[in-house]
Amino acid sequence: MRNYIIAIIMFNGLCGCINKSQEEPNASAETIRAIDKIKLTDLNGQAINLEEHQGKTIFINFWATWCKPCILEMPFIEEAQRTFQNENILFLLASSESAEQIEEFISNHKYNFKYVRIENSEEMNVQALPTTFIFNRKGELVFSETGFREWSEKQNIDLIKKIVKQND
Amino acid sequence: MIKLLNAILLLIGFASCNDSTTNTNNTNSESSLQHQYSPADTASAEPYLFTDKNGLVYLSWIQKAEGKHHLKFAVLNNENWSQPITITSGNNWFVNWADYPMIASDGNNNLMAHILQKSADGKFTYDVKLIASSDNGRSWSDLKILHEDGKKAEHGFVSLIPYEDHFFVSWLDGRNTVNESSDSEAHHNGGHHGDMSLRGAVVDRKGLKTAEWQLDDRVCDCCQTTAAITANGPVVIYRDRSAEEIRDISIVRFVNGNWTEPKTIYPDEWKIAGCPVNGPRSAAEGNNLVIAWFSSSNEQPQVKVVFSDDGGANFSKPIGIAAEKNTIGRVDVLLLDETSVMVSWMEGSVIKAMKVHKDGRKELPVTIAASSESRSSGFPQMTKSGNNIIFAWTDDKEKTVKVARLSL
Repeated sequence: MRNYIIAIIMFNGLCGCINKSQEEPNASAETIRAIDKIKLTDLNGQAINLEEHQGKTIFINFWATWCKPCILEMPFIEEAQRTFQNENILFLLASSESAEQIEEFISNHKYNFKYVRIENSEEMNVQALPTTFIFNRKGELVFSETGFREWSEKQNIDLIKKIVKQND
Repeated sequence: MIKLLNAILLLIGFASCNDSTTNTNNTNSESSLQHQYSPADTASAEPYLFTDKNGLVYLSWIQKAEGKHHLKFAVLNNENWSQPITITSGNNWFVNWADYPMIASDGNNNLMAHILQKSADGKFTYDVKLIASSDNGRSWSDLKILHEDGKKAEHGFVSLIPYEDHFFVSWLDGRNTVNESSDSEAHHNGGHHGDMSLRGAVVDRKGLKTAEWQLDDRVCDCCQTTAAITANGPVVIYRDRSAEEIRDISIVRFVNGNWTEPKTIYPDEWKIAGCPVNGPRSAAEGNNLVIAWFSSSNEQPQVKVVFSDDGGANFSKPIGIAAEKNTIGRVDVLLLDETSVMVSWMEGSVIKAMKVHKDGRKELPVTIAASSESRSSGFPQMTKSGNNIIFAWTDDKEKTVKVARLSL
């Protein structure tokens, strides 16, 4: 009898655990793909539909005009962009600041970037700046990193190259 | 032996499912949350809330109109907001969702506020400018610069609180970061700039400085500071920056006329070569001090709260509050009584708050603003007014400041 009671308690305990772990797949099933969730506009306020770039690798760097590591990272991103100019990859620089603030930055920094506004960086769980997302040609988020990176360094170029070549 | 084995099995059975929710009380306060009329007009952002010693609540915010920025405030009287008053306006402000202006009152009709003003056209350098009122905000002084370094550098992330008959101010000061070269030149020099420092000052009711100190010579560049007045004196809590880019939270305390050396309050070991854009918040009553902060070491985001009953000399073990994958921090904290606090934070664009007890008990979180009804951005603010908690935040969808009240 004693062992029977213990078995019931153990079973209940395990059931509790199973119920808890079952919640995780449900939560992930509800997750919308990051590329469908992200809300970008150009500096005129026109929505950018990333679906239109289906088949391209998309490199999005989240930054701010006042973020020093972001600004220090820009020459490296520009160099990487140059390296991949003949590849099927789109580089976007996304800030949540006003178009006016971004325009002011552009007039003071002559980088050859496609600057956009992100309208929902909180929803995208951008915890810190800079943050870089890379979506592969299928629109899957295959790289996400917070912090400064020297994107023109060989290992980082190789990293991008590997993603660009995915699904070839 | 069998008894021992059974006991161990029982223990395993129970312990295997013990998680962070075990300590959570089942009292949901969402029904006592009321969204309120906001005194902030459209095109407003960057709210800040302050409650003076008499319990009067002040809300400040920035409004953009006719090509200018306007710092405004309103006071909560018997559940109604007063007509907004413009503190100052300008077309050369540095406006940044993470670095918001503040207002503070000594409870004797003396108010102090600050804005960030660009120090050169078209450049990302700016100064902290203080502005004072001695008639409870009906009229305001001219702007006064807080720092006299004369450098075209970043100065911001201010904390402003009444201190004895004066006001205490802490801020991040970029005077050592300027090497008089452009960013590209700096890059060719190995990207080396000097370090961002933390400074503190006492200013009188007119905004004139009576004392100033450097509190730490190397801190995180882009996180808010927080200050509190304990029975022992002012304390400043901030995100530090080690040579290895560890960005943990540190405290400095003014004790017997001297500032203590920086001390890490808890070794999160959050290493990040970037801007966390996530400063701590604190509150104090006597020597009861509470600090809330966000960290994401090992890519595990978490909000934590820590208590001190000796003015920040020693701390209890941190209590983990929120550790969801989408927790982005942006915390606020206030003391409810000697043994409990309210903490707020963001999960994605959802604002949540939770009552936490000093003994580690946590009540159920309350959703203050859900993503279905608004797109919260910036740094949500919270203050206490009697038995109510007032919240303010920027709704990026409607481009306005929203306000809610939670009854305790």
